[in-house]
Amino acid sequence: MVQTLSPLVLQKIESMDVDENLKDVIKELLMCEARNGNTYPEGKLREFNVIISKGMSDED
Amino acid sequence: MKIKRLEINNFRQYYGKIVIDFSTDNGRNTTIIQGKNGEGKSNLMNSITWCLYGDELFKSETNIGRSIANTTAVIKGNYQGADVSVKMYLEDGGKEYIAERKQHFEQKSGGIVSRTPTFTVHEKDVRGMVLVNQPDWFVEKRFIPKDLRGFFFFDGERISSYFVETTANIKPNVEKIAQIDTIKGAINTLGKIKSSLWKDMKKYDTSGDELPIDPDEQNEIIYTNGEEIKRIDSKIADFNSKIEEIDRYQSKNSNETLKALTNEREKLEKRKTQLKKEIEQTNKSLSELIIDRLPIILAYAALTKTVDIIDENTAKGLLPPKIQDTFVRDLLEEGVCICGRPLDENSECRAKLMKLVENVFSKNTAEDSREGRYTIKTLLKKVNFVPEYTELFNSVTEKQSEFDQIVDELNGISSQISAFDETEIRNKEAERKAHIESVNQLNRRKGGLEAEIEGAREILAMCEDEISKLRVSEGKYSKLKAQRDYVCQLETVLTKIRDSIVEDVRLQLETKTRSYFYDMIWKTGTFENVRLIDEGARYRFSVTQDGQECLGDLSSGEKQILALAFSAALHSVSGYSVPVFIDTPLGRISEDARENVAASLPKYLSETQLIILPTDTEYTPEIRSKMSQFVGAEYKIRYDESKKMSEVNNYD
Repeated sequence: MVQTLSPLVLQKIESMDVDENLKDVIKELLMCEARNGNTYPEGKLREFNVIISKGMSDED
Repeated sequence: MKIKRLEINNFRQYYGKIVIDFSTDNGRNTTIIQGKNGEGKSNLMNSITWCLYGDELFKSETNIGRSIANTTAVIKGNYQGADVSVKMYLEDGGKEYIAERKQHFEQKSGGIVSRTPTFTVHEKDVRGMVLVNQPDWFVEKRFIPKDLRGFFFFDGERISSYFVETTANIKPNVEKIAQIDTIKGAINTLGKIKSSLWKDMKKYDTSGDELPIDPDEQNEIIYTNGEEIKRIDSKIADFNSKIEEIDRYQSKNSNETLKALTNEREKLEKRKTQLKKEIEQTNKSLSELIIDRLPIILAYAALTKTVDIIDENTAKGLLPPKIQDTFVRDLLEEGVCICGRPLDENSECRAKLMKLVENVFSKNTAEDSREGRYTIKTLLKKVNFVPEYTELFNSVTEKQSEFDQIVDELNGISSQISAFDETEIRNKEAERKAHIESVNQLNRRKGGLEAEIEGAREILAMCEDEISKLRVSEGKYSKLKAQRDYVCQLETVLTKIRDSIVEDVRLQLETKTRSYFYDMIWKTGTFENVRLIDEGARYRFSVTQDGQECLGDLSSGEKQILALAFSAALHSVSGYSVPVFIDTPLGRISEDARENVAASLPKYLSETQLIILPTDTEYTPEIRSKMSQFVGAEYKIRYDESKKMSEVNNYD
């Protein structure tokens, strides 16, 4: 299905040598991109910013 | 996502209500709907695409211009008319949905007229069936995006043209299915956020320094030119394919002279490419040599003069100085000069000797001069780089001369081929010339665009330096900068993931397609290799036999098997879980291979709900027996000639 990430993409994210928090942020960003595509750019940008802010605060 | 049930009402030859329950059993993933040609298999698939997307994917010539409404239903409804509707009952991870498209048709004096169709999707929850907002969006995001549906609804009769018609689109579509486009989209969105953060950072920057240029403009140049280069690469690849095709045609021609000329041309082209690389490399070495030596040439006079001064002072005995510093220091300590005068604290002589100690002896003048002279002499030796330069220059000249000669020879070959008696050969050669000219023009344009990108990148690098130099104010600026750094980090990781997936996907697709193709093809051992070649803007399939490319020579049945193998590989690699429809899957496949294909296909698509619509000649008892372990539901379409309508019944 389109709104979930393909096993291949998930596998690649997991194989990256970065911390778990960053991996989670990347998954959320990709899910948001897959859900929205180009249909609602303003909403997508807002969602991206929320995910990024949350990711940064979790890192702190 | 699985289809549980389909209800068709008055759609084309389906009069009244037709109900089909599909197999949703994971162990028996296949539903068979058998029908003779013209009985309504394609229209059954069309009813589904009409329901989901509002159009028919496989419109036959007889359907063009005709309303989708079943005429009998409309006429029987008199002036009340009749409703055409297609209703799909769907399930996905325990959730249930109903998608329905409905359109009203009426008989008027001028013929059948229709109202605007309505499309709704309902989702089942604790309150019952709840209307879903934006039903089209639901189909795009939860079922199959419209532009990818060609990979999920196949017409076996047309599948052999798959590679010819869709070659240029395979890579972009593979990228969509493998979600590479999603990653690219996310990178793009992060780029926008980065740019917006940078703008905000400027607002809160208190340094007052203004950047001389706008990075957004430079990013725009990089993006726009990059896109243009992709288009150019795609065009170049197309032209090169056409040139290769012409070369293959000419090399296979029975005319021996033409064959010889074509082979000679191939050799010369290879040498020309090699020479071009060598000339570029040697020119680069020449430039580096000049860049290295130019400062010395410019400073030659000053350096020579310095050496002369050092030599002159050494000859005069000034370097090293005649008097040792320890001798002068002893005099100052004793307080008596060599001439016997007292060196009192305030005497003029003492002051002179002190100055000598400070200015001359303390600076190791002699040692510095010796070292400086040695360094300058070494540099001056480099001025004489004529032999090195001459060697490189001669090498370039020789290579260029050979290159020009090859160009002349190639032109000569082209002229000879252009003068052949056979019109077709002449025309092909003229086409080839035109393609080469187009490639040259595109390469020139590409070079210009690449230079602009390079320039923009340099400016951006300068910008990045400028940004880092800006004095960071407390509070908002530093917070924004931290955010921007975090976004940059995300962008870097996503870019790495994208690059890694692109190659992985190609490799997996290639390996699986090859494996499935070898399993299904009846000519065991005939085909040496099946490859999916990445040509930048597109993928190209290659099948080789006896060391020669033979994709173009495959029979339509072999092409169909390759297309089916590729599609199965694509579904397996993508991880998508949506139904796949295949109309007339075995039509073009020879009888001895059909059982192989019938037994293999459901296996390769085991994770997928598979709906196969074979003809009666395809779905023989042998094929049925081979597929029985995968089949969970079986139907037959029966067309009643007298009533001009089709119905769908259980198989037995």
